Amino acid sequence: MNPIEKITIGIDWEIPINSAKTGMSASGKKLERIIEKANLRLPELEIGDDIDLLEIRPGMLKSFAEFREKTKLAFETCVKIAKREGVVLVPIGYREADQNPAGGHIHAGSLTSFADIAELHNRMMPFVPALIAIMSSSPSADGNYRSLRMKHNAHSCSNPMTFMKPEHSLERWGTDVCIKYPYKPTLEFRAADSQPTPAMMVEMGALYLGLAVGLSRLKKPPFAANILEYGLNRMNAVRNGMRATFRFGDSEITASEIVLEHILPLAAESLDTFGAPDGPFGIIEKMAKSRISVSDWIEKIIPAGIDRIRASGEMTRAYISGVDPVGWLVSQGRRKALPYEDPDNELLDAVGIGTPLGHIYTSLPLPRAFVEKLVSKMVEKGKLRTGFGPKNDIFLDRIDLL
Amino acid sequence: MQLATEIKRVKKLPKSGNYRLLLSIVDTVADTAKIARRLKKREISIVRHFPAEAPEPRTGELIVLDRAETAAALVGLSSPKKMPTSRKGEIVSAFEDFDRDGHPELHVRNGTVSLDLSPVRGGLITHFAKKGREGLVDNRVVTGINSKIPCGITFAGFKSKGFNPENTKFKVDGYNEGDIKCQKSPIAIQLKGKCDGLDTRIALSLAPDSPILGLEMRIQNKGKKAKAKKIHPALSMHFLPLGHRNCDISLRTPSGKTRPFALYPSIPVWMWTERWFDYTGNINTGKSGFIVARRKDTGEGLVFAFDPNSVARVWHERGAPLPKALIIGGEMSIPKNGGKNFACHLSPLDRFEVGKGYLLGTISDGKNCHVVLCGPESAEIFAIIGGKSKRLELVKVGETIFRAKLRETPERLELPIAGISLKLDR
Repeated sequence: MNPIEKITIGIDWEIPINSAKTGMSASGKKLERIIEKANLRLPELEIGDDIDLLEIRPGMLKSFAEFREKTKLAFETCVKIAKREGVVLVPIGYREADQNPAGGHIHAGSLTSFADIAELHNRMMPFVPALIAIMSSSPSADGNYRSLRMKHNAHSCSNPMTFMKPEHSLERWGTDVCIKYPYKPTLEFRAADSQPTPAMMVEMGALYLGLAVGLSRLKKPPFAANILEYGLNRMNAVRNGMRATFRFGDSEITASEIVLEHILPLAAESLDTFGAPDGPFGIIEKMAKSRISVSDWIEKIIPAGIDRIRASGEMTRAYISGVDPVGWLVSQGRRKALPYEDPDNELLDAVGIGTPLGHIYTSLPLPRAFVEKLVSKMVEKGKLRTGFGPKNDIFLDRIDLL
Repeated sequence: MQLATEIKRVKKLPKSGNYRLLLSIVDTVADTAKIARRLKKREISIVRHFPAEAPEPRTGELIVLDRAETAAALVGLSSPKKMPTSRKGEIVSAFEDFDRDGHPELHVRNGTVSLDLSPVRGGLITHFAKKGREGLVDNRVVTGINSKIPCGITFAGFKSKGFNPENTKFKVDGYNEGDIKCQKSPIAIQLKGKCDGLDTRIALSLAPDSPILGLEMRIQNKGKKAKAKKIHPALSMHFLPLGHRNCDISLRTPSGKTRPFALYPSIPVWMWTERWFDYTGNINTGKSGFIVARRKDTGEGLVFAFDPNSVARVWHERGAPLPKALIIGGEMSIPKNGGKNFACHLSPLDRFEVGKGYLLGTISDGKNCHVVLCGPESAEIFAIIGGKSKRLELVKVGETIFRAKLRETPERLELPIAGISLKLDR
């Protein structure tokens, strides 16, 4: 493939806005007023909405400094306006009160042909689980997932990706890595959860951009794209975040090792022409070394098991008080990696009584043939039972629930 | 319902991370009704633990109470209101703020069933069960309304534009807060409201000792500026969130098919697939229309019988956060200076199944005993009276409801199709 020569970046940073009085969504007129005032002050930046989220889109940016300055300016301006409106920006991946996910989409460019962008899309596949892990900021209330947003495929806005063939594959919207060409010359990363500060959003954006540019420059990528491995590793990343362990062929490698040994060196080296300063990934490096992500910080403020309405209130209060997530993230000690998890538990969690097989296909990021094999295995083990619905559709029952 | 509050005073307790907070109520969240005036600015005190990483609480900051804290706070704000009791053959009705959420609820009870209804929340029936039973509709497990999609039964706008009875604030006709009434004749209560310019009334009717609640929405289009309107209402039922293990509610259609609600274990709303909508369809009930929702573990449930003259006999189910069923009224044209009614009957279901129908229970009017059955056709019921088995003559009393009149309460009811022998309290 042709290497990316003109390096550009864009982000769509979705930010939940909560009422300072109730901790619930402050959408509607308040959101409209914030956008109107922000656009009056910063007409060159695109600040808009996405359903009931504020969305910061600083446009197509051509240098690291421009990316950092515009993102910071847009965020701080919105925070000031919001404060006067009695509203708080709570930039994390999930608002528990109404189960609303928020992402930080990153557009890496500029690519000039569909063949190049499809090739880069496939090269990116093995790294996606590690990116999900480092960018996770939506822990589940039960403590079982580090990225609940990605567990639910961001309400079908970030579905598992498939292998692209430049000759005949159609570009699809709404996958983890999403081809925007020819409408935009970019490869979008949609699987990132919203980041808690502009500095972190900038680092995460630059990380993905650097990886995309680095992969485009390589003759042969370090890992071959394997759709099944990707699905299984993605599941581990969503469950265990930065403590996850992945499998590539017969070897096991932790999320931390992938970030530190493969993604960071490649990204740092390739951002030279983008004007990146020395050591552009200070926060990410420390997070990867200590195997933590923003999800771990959120879990410290709202411990697992807490009522979800109260959780939203607490997160809102934390942002009113001016919390410092970066300070916490860079000061943590090293945590142990968790072992690789087979998909058995994930499958059993998705089955209740009379659950259609079609639902399982959409719940797990795995090829259908593999899901069917997994179901057969569980039936043989006596953990699941299959039956037929009124239209000969297949239903599954979990034996221990019967 | 949960309370959003503002911190007035903070005191750090000796045990690390624990704080005593004096809070002022600002608003209610996770509720369809607005905060009651009597709750606003009331002060409450709680003790809460804050993790070391969380910012310390400060005066003026927001604190949202969880359900347990809200329940405890509401208990501290007002004295307990005792639910009135009823004797056999009596109906007691009371209009009082039993759950201390600031809005009064209507409580109606006879010797067989009891119900709670919240007029400010679109006439939502928050509790409906047989005496001493849990029932499928019960918000009493938590104080107040527990969710934006609360467990309960209400008339809903469904596909109607602007007509949202579930968001309407109703007033109970003939009742003031604190009223308690007791009577031996059948009770009829009306809730009055204005919904999308239409006079909307919800009429409740209940006879002494009857397990069957009549529920009717009466819509009138009156006034000088009235225009003909089309609405598409439904009776919406969200059942008790039974949890992971007890979620197998079965649903039986008038055609006799039983289907599971097929809930997801981790129940995400956005994971509905097209398959869930396959269950929508016309039911050719002919003369009878009823739906039964039943828990398999206890056998308890609810029967929804509807009037085929006013209901389009279309039913619908979805895997939602709470198991949900809709009886859809079909499109109704409300002419200028005209009206339409939409009638249903509800009954908490007992464990006993009779052929293709369900035994709802027995009613005593003082002299005679009535055995009441709900179903598409009459079933064979034998009663043992004085040691002899006697087949009951069932008389149709509604489109879906049958009744057998006996001079005395039998010792036992035998249901040969289901193989059940039911001993009755005399």
